[in-house]
Amino acid sequence: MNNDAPGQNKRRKPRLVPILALIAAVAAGLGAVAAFVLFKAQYDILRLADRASETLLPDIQTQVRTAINLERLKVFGEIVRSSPEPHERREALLAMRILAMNAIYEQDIFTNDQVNRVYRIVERMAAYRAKQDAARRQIQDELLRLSAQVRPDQPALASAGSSPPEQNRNLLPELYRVAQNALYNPRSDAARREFNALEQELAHRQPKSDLATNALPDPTHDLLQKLRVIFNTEDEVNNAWVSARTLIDHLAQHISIDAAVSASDGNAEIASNAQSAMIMVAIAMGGLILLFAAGLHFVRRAIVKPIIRVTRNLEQVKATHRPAPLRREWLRELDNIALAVEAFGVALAQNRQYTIDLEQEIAERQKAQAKLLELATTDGLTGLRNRRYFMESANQELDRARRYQTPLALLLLDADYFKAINDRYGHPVGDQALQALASIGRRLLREVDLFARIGGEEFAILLPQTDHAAARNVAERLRQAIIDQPVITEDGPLRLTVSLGLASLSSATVDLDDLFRRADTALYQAKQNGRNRVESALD
Amino acid sequence: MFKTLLHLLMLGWCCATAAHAVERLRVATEGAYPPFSFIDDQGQLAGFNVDIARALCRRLGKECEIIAVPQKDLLPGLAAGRYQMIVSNMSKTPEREQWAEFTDPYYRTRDIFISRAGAGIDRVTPKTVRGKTLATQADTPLAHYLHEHYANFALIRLTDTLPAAFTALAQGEVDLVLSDNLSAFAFMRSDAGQNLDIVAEQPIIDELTKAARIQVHKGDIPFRDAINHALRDLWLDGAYHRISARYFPFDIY
Repeated sequence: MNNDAPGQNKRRKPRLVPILALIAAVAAGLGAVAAFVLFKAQYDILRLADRASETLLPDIQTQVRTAINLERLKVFGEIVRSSPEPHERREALLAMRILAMNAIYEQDIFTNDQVNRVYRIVERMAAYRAKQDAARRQIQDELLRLSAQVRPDQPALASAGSSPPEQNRNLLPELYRVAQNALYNPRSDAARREFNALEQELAHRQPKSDLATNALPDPTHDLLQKLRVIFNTEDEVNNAWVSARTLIDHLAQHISIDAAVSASDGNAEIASNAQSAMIMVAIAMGGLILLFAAGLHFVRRAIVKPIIRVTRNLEQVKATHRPAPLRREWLRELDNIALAVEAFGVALAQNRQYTIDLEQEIAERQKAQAKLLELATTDGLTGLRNRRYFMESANQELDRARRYQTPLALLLLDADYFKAINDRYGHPVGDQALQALASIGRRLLREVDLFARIGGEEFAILLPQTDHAAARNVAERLRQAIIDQPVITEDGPLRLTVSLGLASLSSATVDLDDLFRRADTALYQAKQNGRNRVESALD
Repeated sequence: MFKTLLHLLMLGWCCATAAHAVERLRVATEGAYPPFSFIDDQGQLAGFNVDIARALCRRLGKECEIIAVPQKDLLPGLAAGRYQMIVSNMSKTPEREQWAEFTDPYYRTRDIFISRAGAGIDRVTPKTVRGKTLATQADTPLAHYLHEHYANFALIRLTDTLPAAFTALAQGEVDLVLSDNLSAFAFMRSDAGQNLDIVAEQPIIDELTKAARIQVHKGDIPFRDAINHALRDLWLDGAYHRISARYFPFDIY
C-alpha cells in the first residue's frame, strides 16, 4: 500500500452524497413523470368527458332533432300525397316549409340542402294535387251533365249541352262508371285498366278523319282528356313522392350513421386515452420499482457490505494483531474508511512487532547476563560452583552462622591418586571421574549445602546448620558412595577413592581462611594416614 | 358579547331557512304570444313557454309562479328583481345582453314574411314592398329590422302583440307581416289564418335568424348553468318532446 494511492482514489472515486442525491433525483423525476402522466390523463379524460357533454351531446341532440323531423317530413309528404282535404295538404306543406327553413340550423349544409330539395318536390306534388283537384271538379260537373243523357227518361237535360255523337252514345254508361272509379280511386290499377280499354275502344271507333271533320266537340273526348289528367298527375305525384322518400331515407341513414360515429369516436378516444395513461403509469411505476430495487442493491453493495467488511476487518485486526487486506471500495467515503482501517491494522501490527522484539531483546539480554553470571560462578567441567563463588557464599554463610549461633561445617574432598589416573587413562577419563564425583555429591547433599570445585581434583562442601558429628557422617557417606560407584571408562570400571578433611565452626574460628586452614590440615592428615578416609580438625 | 353574537347568528340562520322554505321561483312570460304563451279558455296562462317553465321548475326542485308581463317590460322587470327568470321567446342581442344572462336556446325558429295567399307578393325587396304596409310586433328586434330596412319604401305598422299583426294581415289591413315562423305557422293553421301564406322567396336575414333563450339575473352564472343543465335533462328524458308535440306537429328544439 503506497501513500499516494488514496490521494489518487479521492479524485477518481465517486462520492456517496452525490450518488444518493442522483438516486433521489431520478426517483423524483420518475415520480414526477408518473404524476404528470396521471394528471394529464385525468385532464384529458375530463376534457373528453366535458367535450362529450359540450359538443357530442349537442351534436346528438341535433342529429336526433333531424331524425325526428325527417320522420315528420315523411308524414307531411304522405299527407300532401294522399289527403283529399286541401286544407290538410296546405297545413302539411306549411309545416314542411318551416322545417325546411329551420334546417338551416343543421350543422351540415348537406342536410339543409336535401331537406329543401324534399320540400320543393313536395311543393310540386301539392301543385299536381291542386291541378288534379281542378280536373276532378270539372269531371264531376261533366258527369252530372252526362248522367242525364245516360238516362233516356231525362231528355231535357241531354239537349242542354253538347252531346256525344250517335255511335258513342252506347258507351256512355261505361264511361260514367270508369270516370266514377277514376275520381274516387285514381290509384287503383283496375280503374286505370278500364280507362285504358275505354280509351282504345273510342280511338278505334272514331277514325281520325271523322274526328277532324266533326264540328261539334265530343264531350266524351273532353271527359277522357280530363281523366287522363287525373291519372297523369297521380303518376307525377307518385313519382315525385318516390324520389322525395328516397332522399329522406338517404338522409336518415346519413344522419344516424353520423351520430353513431361521433359518439363511438368520442368513446374510443376516451378509451385510448385511458389506456395510454394506464400504460404510461405502469411504465413509470415499473421504473420506480426497478429504481427502488437498484437503490436497495446499491445501498447493500456499496454501503452496507463495505461497512460490514470494515467492521470484521477491525475485529480481525484486534484479535490477531495482524493487518488484513481490505478490498477497494467503490464509494470514496467508504474507501477512505477502508483505507484508514487498513492503515490502522498495519500500524497496530507494526507496534505489536516492535513490542515483541523489545521483549525478546530484554529476555535475551537477561539470559546472557545470567549466563555470564553463571560462567563467572560455575565450574565448566562439573557444573558445580567455582572457587570464587564458593568463597563469597561461604563468607556469607559463616557470617549468618555466627550471627544466629548455628553450627556450620566445612568438608574438603580430594580425589586420591588423581594424577596417576590422568596419566594412565588420559584427561578425558580424569574429567569423567571428576564429573562422576560431582554427580554423586549432588545426589547426596542437600539443597542448602554449598558444593564447589575449588581446584584440579579438590572440592569444598559447606554444610550450614550441621554440627561436627553430622558433618563427619555426611563425609563418611560421601566417601562410601564414591567407592561404591565405579566410574565407567572405555577400559572398564574405575574404582575411585577420595580423602576428606573436616572442620567445624567453633568459637575459636577467626574467619573462613581459618576454617579452611583447619580443614586442609585435616585433609593432609587423611592423605598422610593412607588416603580413602576422613580426618577431622580439632578445635 | 359572544352569546349575543351567537344568538344573532342563530337568528340569521333560522330566518334564512324560513325564507328558503317558502322560496318560489317567479317566472315572467309575455302572455300574448300563441302558441308559446296565451290566456286559455279558463283564463289561465298556457302555452309552450308556460309548460317549459313548469318543467324546468320541477327539475330545479322549486315552486313556480308564472306571471304575464308585456314584452317591453320583461327585461326591466327582471333587472328590478320582480322575477328571477324570463321564458318569453327572446333571442340574444347585444342590447338585451346588458340586462340579463342568456341560457342555451330552448327552441329555434327563423323569421319570415307572410302575406295573404294569392296577393302576388312572392319576394320581399324594397321594390316589391313599395307602397305596401308591413307589420310586426312593437319593441322587438323585428320592429327594429323593419325600420332599418324598409322604412323608406313602405308603411310600417307596429302592433302591441304579434297576433294583432296577424289579424290585421288576414283582414287585409296590412300586406306583409314579419314574424317568427312558429307563431306564424300556428296562426296560419288556425281558422283566422287560412287565407295566409308564406312569401315564396324569403330575404336572407341572418341577423334575425334566431334561437329563443331564457333570461336570468345579470351575472347569475350558477343559476344560468343550472337552467342549462335542467334543459338538457328535459331533452334527454323526453319531456321536452312531449311538450313540443302539444303545440307543434314537429320538433322545434
